[in-house]
Amino acid sequence: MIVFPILTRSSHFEQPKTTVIVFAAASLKDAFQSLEPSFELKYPGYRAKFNFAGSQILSAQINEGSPCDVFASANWKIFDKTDIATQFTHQFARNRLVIVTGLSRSLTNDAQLVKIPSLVLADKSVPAGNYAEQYLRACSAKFGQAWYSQVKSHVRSYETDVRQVLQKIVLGEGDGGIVYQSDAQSAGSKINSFPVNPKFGPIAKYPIGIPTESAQVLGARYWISLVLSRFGQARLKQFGFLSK
Amino acid sequence: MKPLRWFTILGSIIVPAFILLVLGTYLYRAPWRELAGLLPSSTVWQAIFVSLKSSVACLLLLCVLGTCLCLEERKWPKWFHTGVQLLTVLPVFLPPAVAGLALLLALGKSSLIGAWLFRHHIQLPFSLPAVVLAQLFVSAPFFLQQVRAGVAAVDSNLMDMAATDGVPHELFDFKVMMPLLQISILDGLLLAGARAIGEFGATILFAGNLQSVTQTMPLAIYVGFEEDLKSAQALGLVLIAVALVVLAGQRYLRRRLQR
Repeated sequence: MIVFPILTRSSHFEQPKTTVIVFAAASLKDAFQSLEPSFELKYPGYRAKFNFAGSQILSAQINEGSPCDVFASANWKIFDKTDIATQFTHQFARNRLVIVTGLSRSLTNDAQLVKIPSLVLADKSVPAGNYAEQYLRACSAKFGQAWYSQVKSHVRSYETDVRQVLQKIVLGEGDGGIVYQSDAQSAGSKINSFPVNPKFGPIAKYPIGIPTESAQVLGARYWISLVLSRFGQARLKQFGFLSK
Repeated sequence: MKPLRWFTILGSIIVPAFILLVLGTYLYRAPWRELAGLLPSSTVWQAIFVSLKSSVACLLLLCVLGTCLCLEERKWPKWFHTGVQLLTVLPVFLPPAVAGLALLLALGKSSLIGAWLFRHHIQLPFSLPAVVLAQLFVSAPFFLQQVRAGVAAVDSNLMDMAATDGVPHELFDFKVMMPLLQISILDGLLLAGARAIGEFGATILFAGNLQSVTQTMPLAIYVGFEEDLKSAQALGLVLIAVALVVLAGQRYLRRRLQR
């Protein structure tokens, strides 16, 4: 009864804010959420709302007409299949693949992946899964086809987004998994991580752009410029991403 | 006619029209021409097979354990009976994702039971039994609800009447109750089966997604939606067909049993 009038009054005096709807790959969740308060500070009158999911789901949702102002994808292939107004498109971040394992285990080279008895990967329809598959293929050229098929036979599940892979390792359900550096960083000291050899491991590239149907192009451009700014790039780096 | 009558007529049409619109559009937009090429794909068959295995196992368990529960619980003290009833309908009110998370935390490697199982080289998550357990957890209330209603409808004097006809009390459940419950059990299996086959949220969290091991039809549809819309649509058609066949079968069996 006391709180109620205070609440209504404060919202009464605040100017209504324009909402920018940001669809972003699951791996960007922590970084983008931490950028939101700075966005509101730097561009008064604007705020961002998020939809985090696998890039391919977001892309399908955009193509089916979901309202969205900014799309940040974890790979170009999916991004290029999405209805985007090309003039605002940038690559804003990159990400390395790492092998995460429980604390009782740690890797010192890529070939040891085969010794992990139960693996959890992302499904190949998800960028992280696609990159993992590319990595395994590149390794198999060096370590042999038998190595590849043995690793594949240890896979217990193909998860539908990269965060699910990480959670299964944190909970100990899988002994090892392949995720992005940024994901491994978010789990902190609960897991061990081994950055894959750049000779085999592809680098994930993150494009950002504005869907053709966006209703808030100006706000969307503000969000993109914040992400590309020195401040935004430093923040992404804190979360384990490589600069654009 | 009275305006109220107009209102109820209009109101009565909306829900069926909505369902017809959604499913009708699905059928209309389905890739009929490519169907012959899509359905034989191994992903589709493996998903159908996993769904079939897991839901049959789930229904068998439910049929035996659920019926036992419904027959026994009416002999329990009232407070205990009510408590168990509330507990067993609870999963209906939980989002499946919560069920999946709870299953993972209760039976995963980091739990007491999971750690014990793991020492005996059993790991539930990522296995077919995990799919069955997820389905059992979410579909049990639907079975129990039906059978309980059937038990409640049985005349309470029947046991004494049966005793005068020479049926001893300890055989009453088998000789009298079971035949009376046939239709309720059938209805229960149908509802629980529908829920089990459609199970998605708990399965993907607890059992993971591995083709030919834990990838059920709804999971294949979800992954398909991300990758190849047409094979997802084709799988959806299979599920719609299954639903129609099961409904028709239930109608038929019901009529035969009632005779």
